[in-house]
Amino acid sequence: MTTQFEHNLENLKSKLLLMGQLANDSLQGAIKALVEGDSVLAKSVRAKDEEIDDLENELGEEVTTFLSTHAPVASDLRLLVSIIKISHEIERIGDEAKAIARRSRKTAIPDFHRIPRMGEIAREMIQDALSIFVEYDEDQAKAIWTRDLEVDQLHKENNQFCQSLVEKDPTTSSSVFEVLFISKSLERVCDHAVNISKETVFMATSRDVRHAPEFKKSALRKGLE
Amino acid sequence: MQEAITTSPASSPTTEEVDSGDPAIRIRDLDFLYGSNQVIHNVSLDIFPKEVMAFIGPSGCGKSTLLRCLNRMNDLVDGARIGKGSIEIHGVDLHDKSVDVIELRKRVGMVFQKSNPFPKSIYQNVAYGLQIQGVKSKRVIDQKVEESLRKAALWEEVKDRLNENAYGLSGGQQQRLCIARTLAVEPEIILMDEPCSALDPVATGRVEELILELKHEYTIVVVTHNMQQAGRISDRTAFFYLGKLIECDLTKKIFLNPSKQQTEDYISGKFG
Repeated sequence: MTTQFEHNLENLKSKLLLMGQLANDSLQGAIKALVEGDSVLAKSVRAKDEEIDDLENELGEEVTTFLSTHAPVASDLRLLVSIIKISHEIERIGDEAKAIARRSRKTAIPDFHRIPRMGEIAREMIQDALSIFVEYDEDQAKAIWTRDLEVDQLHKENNQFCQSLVEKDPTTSSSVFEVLFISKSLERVCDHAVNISKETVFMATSRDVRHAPEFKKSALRKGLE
Repeated sequence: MQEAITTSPASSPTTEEVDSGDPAIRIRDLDFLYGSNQVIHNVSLDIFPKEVMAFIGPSGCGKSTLLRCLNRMNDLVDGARIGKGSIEIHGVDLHDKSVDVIELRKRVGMVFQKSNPFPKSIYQNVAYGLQIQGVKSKRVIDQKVEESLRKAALWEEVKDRLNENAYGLSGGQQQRLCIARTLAVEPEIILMDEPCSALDPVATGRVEELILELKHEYTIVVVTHNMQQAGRISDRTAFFYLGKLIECDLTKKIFLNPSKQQTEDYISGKFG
């Protein structure tokens, strides 16, 4: 029989996953709005961000109430602490998606170079991070951290591409800067996905790997060489 | 560095290294019975000087029985006996014939669940232990009474009414008076059997503060049903179930990531 306690915990988990799904949908919408020049879609992404913010507030309140009334310990405590931290990461993903949607209206270049690919990877990384929140898989978590390096490389390539565009035609600089900011936003989204997966490691095992030297980007890069 | 915890392979709790030197209390392979009913099974555990050790577990798990073994309070119970194993305090077996039980209980003081002051004045409650030890000097007794009441964080509240009956004190004050009474005879180890279970949150907070102060000078073993209290005041926590030591580890580890599922289920209220 499921107790009220367990039922409440499940509700919190479901709400966090809903929040994650909304943020991922927002990101998809933002990239689509950019590539297709769809301003209506861009507007809907901005509206969705409010929904994500509301969910973060709700989760914050509910977790606080839960902590004060149930004084949970062990895995329940780690779950609740992680929900608070992960919800903040998701909220930031929502913000980046909103920023991409806003910038999509200000840029008018025909080629977004690595942006669509970065968007795809970012969405997969978010999805994977949410999957390991549901069913913990350490290998999958580590795969997310390695994929982040791929995104960093794509971001670098975007920088070079944008530089060459401005060199060819300086009148495009304003549009090109928007593309650069979008690329940076996507790189940040992937960092948030990494943070979610690292928080999930803590939730499942109580190990804090956020600043572990062996999982820093430089160490991971070396491992790939 | 040394292994702080040992136990039978059946219970095999996580070992945790603590930098505490030789244990104050060393329990080895202990079986304890009330008549034919075995209530403690093969428990081995070290408790180090000046640490607060919390015993937790559901009712009937043997934690209070084990606590009472530590100053042979169980000697007073008909049919209570050790089946096998030993308990040593600084290397001396408590059941050695040379051990003077009265002296032992002076050295290993006890505070009970329900405060039990004598029907005497506040002063007499604290002085009594010294007087039956033969201390005659009024100056020495006065000094000791004040010192003990200060250590028990009660002096400021009672210094102007030392001759009033102890029953006039609040529940929390009575419990601190009992702690002062225990401290007066200069114990080395203090055993506390659910010391706050009859107290309101404010009085509980005071006793908990007191325990944190006292640990600088004394080794303290506390039995508690209050998980948050164990989390707040103890350095290490031992979880017992059905007379067995399931797990003993640093308290922060027990409450964040216990090694045994049974421990996790108990502390998070899933059984017990």
